[in-house]
Amino acid sequence: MEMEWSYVGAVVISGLVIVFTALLLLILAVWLMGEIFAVIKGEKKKKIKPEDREAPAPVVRVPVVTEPAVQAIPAVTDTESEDEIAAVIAAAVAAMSAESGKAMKIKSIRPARGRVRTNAWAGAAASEATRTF
Amino acid sequence: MFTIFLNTISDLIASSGLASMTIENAAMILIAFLFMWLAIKHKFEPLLLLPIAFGMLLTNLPNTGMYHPELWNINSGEEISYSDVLHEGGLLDLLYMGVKLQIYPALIFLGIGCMTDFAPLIANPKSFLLGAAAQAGIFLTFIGAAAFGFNGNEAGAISIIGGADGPTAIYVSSLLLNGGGYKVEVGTIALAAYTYMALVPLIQPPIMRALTTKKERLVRMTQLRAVSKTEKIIFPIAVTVIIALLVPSAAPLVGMLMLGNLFKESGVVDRLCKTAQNELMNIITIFLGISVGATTVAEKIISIDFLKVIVLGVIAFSVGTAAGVLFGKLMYVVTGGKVNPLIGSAGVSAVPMAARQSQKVGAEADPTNFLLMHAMGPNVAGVIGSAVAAGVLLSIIPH
Repeated sequence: MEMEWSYVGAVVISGLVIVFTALLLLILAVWLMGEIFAVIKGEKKKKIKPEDREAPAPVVRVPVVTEPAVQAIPAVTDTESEDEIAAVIAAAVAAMSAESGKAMKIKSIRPARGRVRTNAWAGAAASEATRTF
Repeated sequence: MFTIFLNTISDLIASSGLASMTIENAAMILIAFLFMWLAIKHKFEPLLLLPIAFGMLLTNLPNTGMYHPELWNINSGEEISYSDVLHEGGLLDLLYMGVKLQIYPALIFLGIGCMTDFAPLIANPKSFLLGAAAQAGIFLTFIGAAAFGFNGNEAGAISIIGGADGPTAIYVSSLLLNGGGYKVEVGTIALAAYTYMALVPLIQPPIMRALTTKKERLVRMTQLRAVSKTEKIIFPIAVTVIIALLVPSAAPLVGMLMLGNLFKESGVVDRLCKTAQNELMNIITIFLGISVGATTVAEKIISIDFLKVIVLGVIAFSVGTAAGVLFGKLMYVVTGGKVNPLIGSAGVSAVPMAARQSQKVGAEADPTNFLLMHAMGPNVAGVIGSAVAAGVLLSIIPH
């Protein structure tokens, strides 16, 4: 039995409207969640004063970037991530210092020029995130 | 003694598969070989296409008694007798119960949930819009199916191919094509869906290139924000509650997807998560593939209606891709050039192949532009979107 075109139209319009409505509600919910967490993080950041920190992060001098930054460099905003990244960099410097027997320090960080090659870690992360189901 | 020997040989020949072999069976066996070749040689969705093709082979070898179409193809208004299936069914009939009772697709969604990282979507919730836009392929193909003379249930089952999600296609078609008398069946829908999913790298890029300008393809998107663990834990719970309240018929798929994701993100049930995404999913994949393949009988595959399904499947995929890219272009304009329209095509839920195409086509314009993680947002939104679209079809179309 063939369908009436009014029925077909009703299915198409109601289908699209319901799908968009459901996903718009999800956008609203996820956006609200993000805003709430941003506020909570902001308050935490205010409470933690720099002198209260046990180990100050290593001083990293970043030159002013005049060209578009490579997008692979994450925009660090929260204190926890900052500390974690500082710890990782400090650990890498300590490992290199121990290996070479010389004290080392980071003087600057520059954006990579030319073609950015994906390293093994990035490759592993991309592979993990996109492997076939 | 010689007469007894001759009679035995004669009986053996009469009861053999060769004696009962029809041209249709032989043609279906050749088609099964073709799909096996595509799966093994060209790696076309081999995890599902290989068991589907082998199920097709087994069911078309005469007298094996592994699958009985008469147990499932009942008249309109009647109900399937599971008692008969249990008493008279073969191995593939018993396995097919998991499809008919909608168990396998939901369990596959559980495993997919355990594997999926929704962080790109949480970081950029606007990606949901691209996931919704790409579902236009489903609903616009419904019009095409109506124009080809299919009834509502058949049109719903065919159009869901546009969702580019195999388990969803099987889930919807097993519910909408419940009973006999339909021109298409679950097996043909699954076959078309998985074939097109394997062809995503061929179907999508030309559409993406045709609908975007070089300037648009060169857009670099800003780095996604970091997403906290708490947000990742709240997300599956919130999605389940919202979707189940709004579209209850989508709850089995979305609920299991989100349960799997909660397993992953909570970090407290590592064993369950590993089981769901490995052993359980692999077992279900075998059962699903072989039993769906068994439903593909000659009169449904070697027919004009199957050709129509193939044509409508391409239309569904292409329209979904185009709708995603066009919505991406709209977002490009609205955001003042901050969104690369190429990520829109990832809104069809073929995860992660569709996202890879966004990365690939973007990298053709600029090899240093990494769109993959940005495309993963619409891609996983597409999984949720196609499950919602499935729920909508099931709630609108009587079955």
